[in-house]
Amino acid sequence: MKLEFEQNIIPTHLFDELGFEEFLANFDIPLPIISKVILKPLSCTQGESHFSELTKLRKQFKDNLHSLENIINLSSRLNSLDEVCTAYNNQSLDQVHLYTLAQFIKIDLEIQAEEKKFFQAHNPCLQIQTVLGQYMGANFNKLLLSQKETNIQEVTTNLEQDLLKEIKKIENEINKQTTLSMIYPYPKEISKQSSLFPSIKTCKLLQVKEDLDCFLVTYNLPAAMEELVKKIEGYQTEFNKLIDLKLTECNKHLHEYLLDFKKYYDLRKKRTYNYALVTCLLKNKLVIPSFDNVMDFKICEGELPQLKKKAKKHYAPLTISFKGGSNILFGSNMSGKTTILKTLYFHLTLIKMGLPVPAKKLNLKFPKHVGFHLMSSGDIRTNLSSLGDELNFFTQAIPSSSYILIDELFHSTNPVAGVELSKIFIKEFSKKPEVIFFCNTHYPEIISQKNSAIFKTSDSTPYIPELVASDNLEVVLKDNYKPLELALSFAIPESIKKEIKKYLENK
Amino acid sequence: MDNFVTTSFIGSDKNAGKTTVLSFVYNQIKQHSSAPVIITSIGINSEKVDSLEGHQKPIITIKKGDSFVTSVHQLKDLSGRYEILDTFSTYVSARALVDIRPVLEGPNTKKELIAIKQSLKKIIPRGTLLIDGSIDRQFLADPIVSDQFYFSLLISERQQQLNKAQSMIYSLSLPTTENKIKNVIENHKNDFTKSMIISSSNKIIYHSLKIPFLDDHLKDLINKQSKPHTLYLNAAFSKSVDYLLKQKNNVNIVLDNFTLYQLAQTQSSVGQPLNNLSLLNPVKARALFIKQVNSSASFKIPLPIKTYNLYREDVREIRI
Repeated sequence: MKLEFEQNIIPTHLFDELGFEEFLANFDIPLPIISKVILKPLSCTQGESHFSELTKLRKQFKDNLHSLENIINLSSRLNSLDEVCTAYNNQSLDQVHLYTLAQFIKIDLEIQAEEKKFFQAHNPCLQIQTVLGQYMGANFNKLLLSQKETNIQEVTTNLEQDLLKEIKKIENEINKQTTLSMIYPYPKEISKQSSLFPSIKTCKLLQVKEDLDCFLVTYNLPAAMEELVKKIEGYQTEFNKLIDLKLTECNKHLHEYLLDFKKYYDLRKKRTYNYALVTCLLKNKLVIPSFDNVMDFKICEGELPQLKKKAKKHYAPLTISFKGGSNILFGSNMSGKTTILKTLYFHLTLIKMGLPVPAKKLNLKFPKHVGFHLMSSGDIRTNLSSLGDELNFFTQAIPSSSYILIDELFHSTNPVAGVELSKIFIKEFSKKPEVIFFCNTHYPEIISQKNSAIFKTSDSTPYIPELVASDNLEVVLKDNYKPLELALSFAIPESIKKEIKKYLENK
Repeated sequence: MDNFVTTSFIGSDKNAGKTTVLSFVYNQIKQHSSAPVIITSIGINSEKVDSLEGHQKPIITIKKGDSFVTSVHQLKDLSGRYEILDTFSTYVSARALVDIRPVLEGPNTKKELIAIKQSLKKIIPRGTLLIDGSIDRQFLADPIVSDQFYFSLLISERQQQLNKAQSMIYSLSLPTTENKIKNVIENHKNDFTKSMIISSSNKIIYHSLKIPFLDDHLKDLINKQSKPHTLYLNAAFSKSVDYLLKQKNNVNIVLDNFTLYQLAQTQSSVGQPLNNLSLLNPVKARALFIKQVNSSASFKIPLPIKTYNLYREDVREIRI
């Protein structure tokens, strides 16, 4: 099962940077029935129902992993019936289709026996198996033939043998008359100076044609042999007609179960997909999010696998909770503000696509829309500057239950205008409790913004941002000089370092 | 002892008579043994008409009781005449209930072919598998895939085609590398190895998964080697590698299999072959069949290989 996102869901640079492909590879289980799944964004209703089903399955198998393993092993033997279903629909199932259908049903019935304890669905598998047995016998690997059909096959086989004997006779006769070793049906070339030529020319069983540098010797079959070939062909045509009639009858018989079977086959694909997701979430310790009706978001130890892989033991997962309206994240440079936004975007995207997430716990309202704006340097293709690009981001429709994540809000313009634009946008979103607006900024003026939740990253626990109390907002300003201290840790010219140190001492 | 034998048929060119030879060998097997035969093709074959040149092509008749592997859709008009042995996504192995003439369209990759072979070995343990192969499928030369080969050689008047034929004959006569080097290579190579440089004391100097003609580091190292060494190649023996190696006289070149030499020579005219060339996997050739359009062409046929001409009846030619 190879999972892929529908095209243009995630910008390519984010898809690569955040390691979506590596994450999706966690779900690579060999399941031919659903060898490739294209994931599309789910609506709120679809998403909630999908995750509710996953929760039920996880509960079901939590203490019964052996059963899930058994189902997955059986499911890995289920072939895709997509092509068979087309033939089933057109009443044109042939012998291979019937065999494939029978094999599918045989395995499916074993899965059904395993599922019996917790899941039953109306399906016509047993009836179809009975019909297939009538036409193909217990092993389903060949068509059962009528007496008439068997007789034709026997006659044809005997005639084929007679034909072989005739051919052998002809080959021997040619050899006797000409000493030429001909092997029917292959022609032979002889040189123009060959001493055999006079005898070949008079042999009635051979034809001679002049070729480039030789004579080409072919056969001149006797009428009786051609008659034999025609006879064989006649029997073959009759056999074909009888088999066509048999298959037509079988198709007609099976057609009454078509609609029920198609419904059941779709259900089987969906269930196989869900079993695979539960298998992978248990194996990789992923979590199924839980959903609320209020616009609250709470993540506990959410991971960004790509970063975890790189940072190894230094990696710290994200724990944060916030509500609908405006949320502002402060923190000094290199304190992980953008990474927090990227982690949130990674989890929200997975949820929107119906996948479990790498976290300990996640509680939220199902996202109707996820928007993420990273500071850019503009785009010459769209003729937009970095500010234009950011403003353009806000022209999209933002329905309720949206999650809007902005990196460095309005740092794309001069600080005076940037602060004013930030205030206006933050104020606007603070009036929308049905939308979560989460941004980070360096503008200290923003802390005076009312009705917004202010968060601050900490040096000791960067991925557990603290909610700053409204009577203690000055704590955010303490970090204002951190970038100067940070500059000292780089190998910049000593004269500049000296000036920075002087400034910090006099501050 | 493994009783299941796989024989591949390889032609020097299109219309070299590969299918005719397969059909002939199949008939010979049926005349002299009762062992069940399974026939398949790499890609499509046994079409009634040549899709490129439009002329009639030989058809393989699968005898009652023998088996074949083909693509699902090639069985559409043959219902009732076969019993299914196994299915593999798009391929089916089946046993003929009467003599039938299916279009054979078998596996295209080593992975698919090995999976099919494993299944056939279980169902028909004493079977003989005949593969209508292709020179451009290097995996056929892998001992896991083929136990032996029959070759069809087209000798026409076109110089490019004559080059192909000549290089195929040359590749069949290449010696197998000495056991010591063979063991070193086999102990270190994996499915993705493209090249290795081995020192005279049998140490691995370089092991690469890159295609040699794109591998600048490999070329650099070859140029820098002053002592005698061995270069193992498991990729097309391309023009640039050929040119580079011709400048060196202290390198012993080991090609994984004979198809790699053939690939190189089809790309350009045949130059002076390298005399320090050997093969890791020996060519287990049963026979060479010639389809000679041009009787004036002269070829050195490697002596240990039996050579037949199915098409010519002349005292100057080798007869069946």
